[in-house]
Amino acid sequence: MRLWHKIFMIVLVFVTVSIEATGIFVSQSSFRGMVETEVKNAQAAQNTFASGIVNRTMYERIRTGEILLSKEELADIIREISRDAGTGYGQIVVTGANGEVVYPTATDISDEILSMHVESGNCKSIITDSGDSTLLVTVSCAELERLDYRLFTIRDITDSYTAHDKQMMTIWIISMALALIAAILISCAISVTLRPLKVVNNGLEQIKNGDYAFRLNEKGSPEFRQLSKNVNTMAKSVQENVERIEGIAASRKRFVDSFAHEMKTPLTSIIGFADILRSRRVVSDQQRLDYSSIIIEEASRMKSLSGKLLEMATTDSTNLDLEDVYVPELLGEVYNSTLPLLAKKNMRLRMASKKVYINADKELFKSLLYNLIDNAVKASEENGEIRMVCAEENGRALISVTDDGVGMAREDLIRVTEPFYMVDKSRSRKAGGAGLGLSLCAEICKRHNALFTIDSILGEGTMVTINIRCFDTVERREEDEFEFESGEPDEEIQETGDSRGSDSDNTGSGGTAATERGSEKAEEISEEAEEIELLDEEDFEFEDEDF
Amino acid sequence: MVKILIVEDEINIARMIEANIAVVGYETELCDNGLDAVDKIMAGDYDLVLLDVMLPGIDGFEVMRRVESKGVPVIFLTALQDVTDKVKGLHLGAEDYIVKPFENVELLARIEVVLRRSNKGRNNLTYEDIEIDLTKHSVMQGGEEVILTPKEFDVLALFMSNIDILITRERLLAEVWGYDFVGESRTVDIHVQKVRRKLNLQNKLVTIPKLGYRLESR
Repeated sequence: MRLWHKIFMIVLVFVTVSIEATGIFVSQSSFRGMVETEVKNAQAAQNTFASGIVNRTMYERIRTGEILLSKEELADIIREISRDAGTGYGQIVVTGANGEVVYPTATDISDEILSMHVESGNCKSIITDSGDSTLLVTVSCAELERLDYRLFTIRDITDSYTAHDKQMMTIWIISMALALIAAILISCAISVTLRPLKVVNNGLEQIKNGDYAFRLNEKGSPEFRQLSKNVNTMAKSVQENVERIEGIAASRKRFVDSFAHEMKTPLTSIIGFADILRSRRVVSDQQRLDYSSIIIEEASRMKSLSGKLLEMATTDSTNLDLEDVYVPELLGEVYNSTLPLLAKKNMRLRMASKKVYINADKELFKSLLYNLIDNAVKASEENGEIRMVCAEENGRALISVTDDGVGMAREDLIRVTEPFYMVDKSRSRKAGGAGLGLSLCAEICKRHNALFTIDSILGEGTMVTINIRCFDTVERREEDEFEFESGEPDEEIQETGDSRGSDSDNTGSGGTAATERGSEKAEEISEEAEEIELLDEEDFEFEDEDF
Repeated sequence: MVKILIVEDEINIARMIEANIAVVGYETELCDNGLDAVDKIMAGDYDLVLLDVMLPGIDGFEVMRRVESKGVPVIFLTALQDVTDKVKGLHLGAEDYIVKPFENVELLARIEVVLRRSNKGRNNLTYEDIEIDLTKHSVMQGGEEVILTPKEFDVLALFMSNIDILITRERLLAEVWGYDFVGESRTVDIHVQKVRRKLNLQNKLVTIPKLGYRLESR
């Protein structure tokens, strides 16, 4: 049963019962008054009649001089008076002591009524049904000439009762009509009152069906306003959560799809060419050479992919082994490890660094910088140059790796830190890339609370910058430590704008951004280079003018 | 001459498909991105397009949408195994959907099915004096009809469309009995032996130990 049905039924029953009860009460009390009046009148008439008989008896006694009138004389008197009085007020019946009817000679009054008993000198009235009619019977007992006579006045009051019944019927009909009207009014009132509930309900239905952006109008009575407000708050948090989860699901699906693609593409080639080598009856030497080379090439690609994935999983899950790292020393170590890479393309790496410390996992940072230089080498032409600089600005180290390679378009720049994203697939494949390098770099920066930005201009080069908190000395860092922990998180994301620099393979995720400034930034950094400690290693030198 | 366009950005996979199709003698053309593929399909008269889903530029689904009006049969090649992707591909009107990595015989078998559906495939296969009609399901050897059961016919047809190519028992099972068939590979051996006996192929349909069978040309 619905709420409005309940309210409707309760109110309707209450209204109907009230109307009916009032009507019945009023009608009954007026009817009772009427009956009482009838009874009084009947008794008064009865008394008059009885005293008439007594007076007449006295008179006859005196007139005849008898002490006691005979029974017959008395009967004559009674009959005479009864006849005179009879027509005025109801039917008169007189019975003698033995129950014989003295007047009238014949009567249709039932014996039941006539056998009614009453004390001598008393008078009583009863209402009784006889056949179709209702009778008011008044009976009294009179002692006449030492004999008991009973006098009956019988008045037909059927009409009064009929009128009363009619009245009751009228009341009933009226109350029904009123109940009907009340029903209409009540249902209107209820539906108006409950309409906001329906609105809320419809709104919830819509939200339930997936329209999480739906909001209710916060108006109406305070209760409904509060309800709508709560519903809206709920819808908002549902919407936010759903969007967040959908975002996670979408990025996971993207990752899984890319992963499947990256795994299955080399597998397809490997299986396909191996199958050709196995199932063909005749394979020429040239074909065998071609096909097996492809198999090896694709297998190496899978090897590199699995290595990178492993590295990524490790970065994700292992705890950082934080220590104070002296940046010039860090860059020096990276330089040494990248020499073979550089030698392949006969490239030069030039470095400059401020004397600062950073708090970081040294191995991860080395791997990060190694990856960046690896990318820079891949993006550059032979005999090119790569610059690795650490500048300082407001207590933050800006470690950048810059190349003059192929650069990236702006749309690539946005996606370049997504796992498996490759700007130039075929070239990156040839260079052995899996599309995970920059993802990995961005991940490492994120774990260090460092800001990772890529600036690039197509055809001119790329500059990747790591912005991390730094310290002049180890002691200074310890002082700052407290402030650092209680302060706001370091990570902030700047929107990508203009681009500069280049790079092919790779991408990142998380705290990544490309800055607006592009090439000016490189100049800024190079200006600062004046006060920088120059790290001249055996086979390269730093020249102020070209930086 | 049947012309097939291979749209695949992975050059090695494209070359592999090409090498396989070349055996059957169909003409192939390569294309490595979505936009070029649309132009080529709209301008050319290909009998079949093998379309990779993950392509640079526009993806395979989008290519399919754009060339719908041309009505060229398309088989999707993809690394995506998701059922929804599969349904999406077939909804767009693709004839088939092959998940990477796939076996060469499987690819060729699917290509044959699609070509036959559009009446472009080979209806007659010949090997020495044996001639089979794929539409009538009849086999003639030296002008006389040889009666084969339907499964035996399918086995023979598979060998005759892959002359000089090894066919593994697993592949036979998959292509002739369907992927769901759960039976012993002995069933395969028995059928191959019957085909060999009925058509006197004792020295031609050779057993490759531990792998399968090969119908060898002389």
